[in-house]
Amino acid sequence: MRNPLIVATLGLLLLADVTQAQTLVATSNILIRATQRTLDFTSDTTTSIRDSKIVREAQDDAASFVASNGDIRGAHLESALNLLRTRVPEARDASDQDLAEAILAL
Amino acid sequence: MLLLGSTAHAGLELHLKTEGLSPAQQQASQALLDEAMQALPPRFVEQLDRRIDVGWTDKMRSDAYGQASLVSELDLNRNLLASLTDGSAATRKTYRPHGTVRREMLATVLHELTHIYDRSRLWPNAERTLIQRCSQRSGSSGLIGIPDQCRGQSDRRFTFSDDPRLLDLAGWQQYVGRRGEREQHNRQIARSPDIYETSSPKEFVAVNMEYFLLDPSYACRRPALYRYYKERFGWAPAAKSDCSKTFAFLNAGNDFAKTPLGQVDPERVYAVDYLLAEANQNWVSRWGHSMLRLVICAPGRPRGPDCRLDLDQHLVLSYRAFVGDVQLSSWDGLVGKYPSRLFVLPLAQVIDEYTKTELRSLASVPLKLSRDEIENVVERAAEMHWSYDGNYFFLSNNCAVEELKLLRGGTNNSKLVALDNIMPNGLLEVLKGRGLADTRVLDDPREALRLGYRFDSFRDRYQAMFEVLRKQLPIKQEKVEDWLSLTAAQRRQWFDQADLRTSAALLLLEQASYRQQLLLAQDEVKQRYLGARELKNGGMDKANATLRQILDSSGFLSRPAELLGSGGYGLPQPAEWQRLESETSLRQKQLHALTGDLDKEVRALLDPDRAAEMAANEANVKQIGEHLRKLHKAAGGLQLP
Repeated sequence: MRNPLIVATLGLLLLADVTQAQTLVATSNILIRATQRTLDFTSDTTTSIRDSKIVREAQDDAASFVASNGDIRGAHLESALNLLRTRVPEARDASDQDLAEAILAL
Repeated sequence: MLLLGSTAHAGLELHLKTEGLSPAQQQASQALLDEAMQALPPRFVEQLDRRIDVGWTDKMRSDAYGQASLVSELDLNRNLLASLTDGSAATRKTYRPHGTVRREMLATVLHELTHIYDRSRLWPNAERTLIQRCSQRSGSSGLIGIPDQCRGQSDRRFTFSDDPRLLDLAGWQQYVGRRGEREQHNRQIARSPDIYETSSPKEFVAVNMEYFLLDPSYACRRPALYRYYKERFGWAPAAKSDCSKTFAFLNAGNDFAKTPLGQVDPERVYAVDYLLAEANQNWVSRWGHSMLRLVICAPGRPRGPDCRLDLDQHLVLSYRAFVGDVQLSSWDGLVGKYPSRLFVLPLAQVIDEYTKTELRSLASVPLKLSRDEIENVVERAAEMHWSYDGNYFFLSNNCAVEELKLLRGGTNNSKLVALDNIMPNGLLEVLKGRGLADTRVLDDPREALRLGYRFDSFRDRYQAMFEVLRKQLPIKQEKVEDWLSLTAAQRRQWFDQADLRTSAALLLLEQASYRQQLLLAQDEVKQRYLGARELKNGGMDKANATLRQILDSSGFLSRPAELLGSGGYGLPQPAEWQRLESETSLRQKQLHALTGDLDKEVRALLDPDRAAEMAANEANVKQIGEHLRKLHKAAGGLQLP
């Protein structure tokens, strides 16, 4: 039922992350680039944990977690906590709060 | 002895009409018929217990290969006899999947024999009994209240071509809400070996029989149909290619830095979820949107519940209309003008689009499917991804209907066969009612959020963040909307006083504000664009041309089959992937360059005040980020390597 992959508007193109339509394609891209430059920058070119997609995609969840004192705990954060605890020795014994702050402060 | 002798004669016999044929012609014709007999399934030969006379005729369209009479005659086009006899047919290429003229002639004999077999009602005993029972029932009580297993079985007239399962796989789907009645048009038209197959179910059965019998790669290209024939005949040709373990697909995600060609390994798919976006007031989404989520395990992780959090691996199957213009007309949607296709998208992008951009929440409900059913749904999705080019009717042929067809085609689960549902939210209820969806995962909202069964709308989060702000700082605003309507400069004054917790809230609210600015700017630019593009010298010519180019060149993501040329059919095989790889990365580069151009051209169109506010907002996001990092460092917080 969902609307189309509309390549809806020039504006959409400009503003891609925020499209009301399902900007599948090119549409979304431009603005996504623009927003991601400031909101978060994801890179696949390095294997560093701080640049991993899972961790970067958990930043909004981490902010919600920290601000809400652990009340809002989204799946992206859960996924990143698991990853950090398996891959980073100093994360193993850190609390959820400490790790969420570390992700937030990247 | 006599008895044995007579049973040895039972079965199909092809008899060449030799009248008027030279010895060489007779010999070549007989060799062709012998080869056809060799290619047929033993059960086919045994069941079609009759003599069929085969002859050459010139009473036929010059471009036809052959045709069968109703029961016992088969004619071949005499135009082809000479090349068969002198052997040149074996080397003359046809540029169709069968390859040569002689292969086409062999396929013709098999095709026409299949028509006769199909008309002969050669059902296995159990099926015959079912058909009789269902026919009697519908005769006495009509279509209303027929048992599920009788759907489509009453009054059947053909061995294959009115079998409900065959029709599901072939692309003549059940209409929704019409008790099993079938759609008139087949939209599985892309990457067909022979588009003639879509003209009717009878032709579909005959054409596919050709490929089942003659093409060793049929099992890999049309795996579900291969299994169907194999099961019906209890037999399959000895020559069979080794199929790749993975399915290729085009990832329609918006990360242009990555090649869009991906692979799904069904072995790594732990579960299939029904993914439902809640409705909002936008008319196209008033009933919500339904999708399927493939829960794919990260490489190296054993298949199990832990895979549910490998979010970066998960993919979403979504039927969406593709519209190549800037306005969506509701009228066009209702009459099915938009082509509907099965897109494959990264889960993270789908979550972002709904929860952050549209401020709608998502529910992800596991479907209770067996291991086989899961793998077959993945396989079916791959088949539909490459072959389906449908019409998107918002009301009757919506995403929920398409999803239902996909699940039905993939699983053949009897609980799905008789489902009649029309709206996405309704489908979930029905799936739950039939024990196919496990909605208990949503019972505890916090656990559901933590484990990815629910993705909450950021509307709620922004509200929560504002509450934090009000508690921590002496701000005057009482509603989150009021806070967001302050200028970036006004909000910035509070940053220095914020502790870590408050800064986290401020960061999310700055992002919310930025998204809001983007929406406003989008709307302004859209109005200007729509107003100006019809005008000459409206200042939009260049942007318009670039937009056009982007629309044209991004179309390939919605029509993946176009990238592959006409050599193959069905699922693309490893030999075709290479071409796919180079084609997609080439186009991706063009798109990358074009979007850069457009970005520049469109930015110039922004209202100066809007542009300044957006820049200030961006600066805020950066500043609060730096503030956060400073606090974190000063507190001796953990630094990730």
